Amino acid sequence: MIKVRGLSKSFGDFQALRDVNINVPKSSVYGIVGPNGSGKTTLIKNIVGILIPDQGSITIGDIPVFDNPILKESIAYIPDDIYFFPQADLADMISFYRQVYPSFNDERLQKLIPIFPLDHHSPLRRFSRGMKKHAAFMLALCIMPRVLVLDEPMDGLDPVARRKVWSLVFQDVAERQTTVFISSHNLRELEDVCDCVGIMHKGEVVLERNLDELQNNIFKLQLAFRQDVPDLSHLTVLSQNQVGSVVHLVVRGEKEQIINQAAQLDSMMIDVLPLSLEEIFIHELGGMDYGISSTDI
Amino acid sequence: MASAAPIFSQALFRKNLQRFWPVFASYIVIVLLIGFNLTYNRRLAPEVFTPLTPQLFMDSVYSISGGLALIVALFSIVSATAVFSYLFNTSAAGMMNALPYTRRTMYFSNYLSGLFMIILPLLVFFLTLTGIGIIHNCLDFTALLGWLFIFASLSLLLFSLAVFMAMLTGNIFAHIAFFGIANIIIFGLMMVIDAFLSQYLYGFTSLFAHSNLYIEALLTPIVYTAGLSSTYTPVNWWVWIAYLLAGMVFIGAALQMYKERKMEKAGDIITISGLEPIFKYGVTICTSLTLGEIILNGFINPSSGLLVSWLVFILAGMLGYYVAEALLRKSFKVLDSYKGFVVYALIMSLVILSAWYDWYGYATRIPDVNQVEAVAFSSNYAYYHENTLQADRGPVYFDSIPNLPESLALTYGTPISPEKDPRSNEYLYPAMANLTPEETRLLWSASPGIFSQADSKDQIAALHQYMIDNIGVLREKYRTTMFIDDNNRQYNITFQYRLKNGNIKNCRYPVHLATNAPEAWETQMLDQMASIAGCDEERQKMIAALDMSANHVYRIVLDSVVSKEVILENESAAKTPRRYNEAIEIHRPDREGLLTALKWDYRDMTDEQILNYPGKFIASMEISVERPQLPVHNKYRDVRGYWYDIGAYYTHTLKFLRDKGYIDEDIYQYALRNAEDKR
Repeated sequence: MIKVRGLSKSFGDFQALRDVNINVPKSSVYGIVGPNGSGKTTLIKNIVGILIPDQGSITIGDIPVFDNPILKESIAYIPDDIYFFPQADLADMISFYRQVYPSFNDERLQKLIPIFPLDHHSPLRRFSRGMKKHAAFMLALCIMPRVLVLDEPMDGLDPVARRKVWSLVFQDVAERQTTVFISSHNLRELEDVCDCVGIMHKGEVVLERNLDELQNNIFKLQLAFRQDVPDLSHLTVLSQNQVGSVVHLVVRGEKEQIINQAAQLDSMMIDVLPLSLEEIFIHELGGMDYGISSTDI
Repeated sequence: MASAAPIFSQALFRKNLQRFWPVFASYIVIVLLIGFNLTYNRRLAPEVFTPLTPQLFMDSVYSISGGLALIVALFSIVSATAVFSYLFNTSAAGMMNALPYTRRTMYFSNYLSGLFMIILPLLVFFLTLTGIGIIHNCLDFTALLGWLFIFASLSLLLFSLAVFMAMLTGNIFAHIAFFGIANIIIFGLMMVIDAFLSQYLYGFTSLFAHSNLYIEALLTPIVYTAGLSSTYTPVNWWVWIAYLLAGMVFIGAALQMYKERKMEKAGDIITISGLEPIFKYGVTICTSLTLGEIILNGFINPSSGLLVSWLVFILAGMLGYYVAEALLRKSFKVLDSYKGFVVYALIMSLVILSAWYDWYGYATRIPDVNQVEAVAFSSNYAYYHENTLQADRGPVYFDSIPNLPESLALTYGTPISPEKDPRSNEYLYPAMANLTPEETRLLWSASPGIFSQADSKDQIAALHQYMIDNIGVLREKYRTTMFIDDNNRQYNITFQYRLKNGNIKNCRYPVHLATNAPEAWETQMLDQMASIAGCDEERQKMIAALDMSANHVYRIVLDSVVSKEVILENESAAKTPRRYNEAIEIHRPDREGLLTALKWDYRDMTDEQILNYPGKFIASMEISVERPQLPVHNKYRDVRGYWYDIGAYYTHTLKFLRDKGYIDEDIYQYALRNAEDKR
């Protein structure tokens, strides 16, 4: 659905994106993760046609996005720093979106009003960050988007509101085959909702996988030895930690293969556990000068 | 695909009007208040201008041109800043550009909403004026339509310029500043360069020396519009069409820049990387020249010499350079960028040195006397005759010449039509412009200060050459004796050459000459200046101006006679001279005698006295003359007043006034004592 090919973008001397390639399948939920300054927001602003790429292409359904009003009518974008007209209230913004987006659905608006109980006639500038997010979601969902692009969407929302929002998003994905592209720092949350994940580092997408595939390719392995730790070079070890006779490893590879290789080590105990997305994120970036695992405070 | 998208979005247009209605509402209120005040309330007062004619009505409308042009400029920038304000904020730029519009649609929707906000008040004003004109039966609809076209052109030009400036920057304050600078850049640059060169380049003739600043005004539309102060000002419609076209060019250029704009530049001072050096060095130069001049004139003696003034200009430039760099980087960590400033400082130093030592011989240029048709000479910087010298090439004003040759009076004073203009209820006369070569020479022959006879031109050229031969001495003395005391007098010697090819060459030299014990070169210069001031050509003109029948003199009034306070202050006299608080009219039988005495003075004054008389003021005199020999309705036939200054050297005139009792003996004696004073 969303294809980014060879995308590069610089801000002066700073290279924000470097030859980025991603592929977001239709009606999937794609999460883009990465440390601060890795280029997630820049990538998103290119995808929704705000920024002009220096190089590369961005297409949705094989059609270029930039300066394409027909295509942009089907894209809803909720940025991290939401902007409404300074004097506007929610009623004004609804009226504006109704005029701008032909697909604006008043029936849906009526359904969303009780879900997001907001005062339609108070200036939006007086809303809290969370209330602004509510308003933005309400507007975005009312335009019946085929593509929903969310930059840190859950920041500022309470747990109940998060659940409501995710429920509405999943409803769109299931019923209308909406494609969702999310950037978030909350990896635990992404783990629960994403089909695919891309990891960004220093302006590059260093890894892009289906989440299941990603989680089935890296494991936590616990071994216990009576004597010294034997040679582990036949395992693809990403990190190693020893407490007494127990060795904790993070190992890349197929689960069966890892078990078979571990069995040859004369270990008293072999325990293979899946990694959370957060752990995968840390270990994948650990080898890229992003040394989290051994930081001393 | 993008080109098929609509060019305009009603939603954006309506939203802008809804959001920014106070802009055009306040514009309407201001314009109506000004318009009503000038064209309605004031004119309705019965003691003023009754009845209200179409001419008077349009004069009223045009009388606010200057103020209205400023208001148009103000609301142009306010409207442009409002409708494109999202470009100055990253979040807003993101939100707006994520909307389903092409950039072209965004641009035109915002542009047109802003233009609407400044055109609507103008149309409201136009309709109001039309209403007033109909109600008071003074409507000249064609003229009013012309006025509307002028201000609509100006509005489009200034608003488009403001939008263009918005494309150059991502910062709201920079946007306002850039627009302001663009509107005054011609005169602003002229002023700072003028001040700078006056500081360093001896003999520099001011950039404002020539009286016709037409091109400069043309490039400053607010100033040009302000010049349309009445219906008597001729309107060059091509200028307004050109302004309209220039506005269109700005629209196109701004659209292209908007299409390619990097939205991530919101908040940046400059959005186009290639323009950053222009901004940086532009700020550096302007700060250097402007702040340098302010510091030198406000806090340091401007004559403090080369080293101090150089240091001030360089330090002011350094401040401007680092401020510009800090604005571009949005950081105060800019000291590492010193290399650019070093280059600037070197170039600036070279410019200063080359001007100070006049490496290019600016002060020593002199035209070939054979190529000079006429020359205007002055030793007191008082006269600028460029229009008169080029009367065959443009407009000229000669109503103030007392002895205007009769042929000129007949040609330019006879009404075009025997009937009065129905709009103004006045006669219309031929424009004083583009005279024939014969008329031009005739005009020179009657204009004091302009020399066209061969002997006079030779004398002036000889003085100029002598000054060039001694330029080093002149320059050094001027720079080292900036404070004039009793031992020195400043002369601002000005040469304006009219060459045979029609061009004008200006040269001006401020010189300080000793009044006591002058050196040989000073004596030589004073003698030459005096001989020019008192040459036959000049004396003949002064005498010819008084060569009239006393019967044609309507009135002579003595005014501003030097008062008791002046005498006491100067001499601490114990006497109590008579004070003349009111004008003294010369009786009819005495007029002939007074005119004769004046002519004798012009004949008998020494050259040196003519050169120095402006500094020995005693009284003013107004001689009102009529010319009954001219046809009826000729504008020079009716009474016209001409002013003369009576100095202490006017011995015949002062004696006559004393003998006839118009001034007291003590005033007369005071004048005589002053005349003897060589200072």
